[in-house]
Amino acid sequence: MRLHTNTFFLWLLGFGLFFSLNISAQGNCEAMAEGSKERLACEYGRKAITHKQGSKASQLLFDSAIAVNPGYAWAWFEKSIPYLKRGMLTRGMTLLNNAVELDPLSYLCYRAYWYFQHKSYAYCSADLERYYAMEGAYTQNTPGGALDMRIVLGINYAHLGANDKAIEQVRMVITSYPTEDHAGPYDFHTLGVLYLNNGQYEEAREALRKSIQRNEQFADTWYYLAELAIQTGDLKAAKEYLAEALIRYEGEKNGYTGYPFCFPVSKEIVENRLKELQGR
Amino acid sequence: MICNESDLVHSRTSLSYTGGRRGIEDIIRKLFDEEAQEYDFDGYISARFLVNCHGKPGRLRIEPMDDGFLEQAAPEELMELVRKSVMALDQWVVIKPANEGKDHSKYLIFKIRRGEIDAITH
Repeated sequence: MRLHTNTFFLWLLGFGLFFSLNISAQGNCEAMAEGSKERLACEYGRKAITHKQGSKASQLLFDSAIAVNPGYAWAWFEKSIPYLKRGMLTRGMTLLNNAVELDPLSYLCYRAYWYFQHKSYAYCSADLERYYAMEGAYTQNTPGGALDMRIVLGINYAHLGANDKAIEQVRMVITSYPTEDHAGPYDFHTLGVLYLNNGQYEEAREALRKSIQRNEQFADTWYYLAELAIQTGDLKAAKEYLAEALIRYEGEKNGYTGYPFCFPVSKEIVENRLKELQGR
Repeated sequence: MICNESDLVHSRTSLSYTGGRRGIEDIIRKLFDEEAQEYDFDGYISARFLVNCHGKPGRLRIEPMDDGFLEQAAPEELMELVRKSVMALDQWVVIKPANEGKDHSKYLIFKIRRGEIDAITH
């Protein structure tokens, strides 16, 4: 019974959060003056999201919302999403740019996410740095929720070749949490890989171990522990870590891979590494 | 070319390629290497296409872009090379059982630096 009650409250909390995010993003139509262009556009938008994202009905309703109120950033943003998801980047980005221009605080991070997704790192940095310098900037995650966008900025610095800056950024984010228990599922993994790539092996070991303590199912971390062991000359440990990674890729133990943002690894890479180490 | 126009799948996770992402990269990089041409182009080329129920590509549309994903021109020969590479990918497989036998829309984004492939994203 107690479990049941807790579940119910969690559900309620989740629903409440969803509801409040949704309202704050779209705006509360009833709070707007009746007959105003804002109210009319808001109502078109509210109808649009009752249809499947990217459907003709939904997109046409966003068109109506924008036609009535071209200053409605949320409608531009929502209309851009299906284009970006389907690889129609110029069309999607042209729409999203309008949302960013109207309301940078709400949409810069989303644009940065797409730049990062397709490895346009200089543009991603520019957007995120602009965002975090803004008054009122708040903590935003990637659309899937797994990474704080400040961690994404750190990874982005590494892709631009600024390793020290990347480490400093990710460390700053982790130390900004009230305790390390607030860290996201890939924060220590990211920090560990950054240290490893920077040749700071002791720091890398500590961060990767912390990552394993929190998220041992993530096969990629085991692979990076193996890379670290290779760098420090412990081939026996390296083989054990690679074997551990492999059984997590293969599902023999609970495991997963395929998180694309923080230096992704594949089963094939692990197998090749194991082959290289055979007989050594 | 299309098996059933009215039931097109847009999912980004329903379709895979024989040999995985690596399989795609190997085929495309090989074609680029064989060409061995130097192109004066920095930016992106997006390729959107349909994969029919037999795993074959078609209805390809390509578009050159700058690093902010807005339109910019690219050399015609480079565009042709991208077309050729995408059409060479003829071993797509559906990995979501519910979508087996259906046509899919698919895209690949080519990040290009000094005319060479820097990365291919999906």
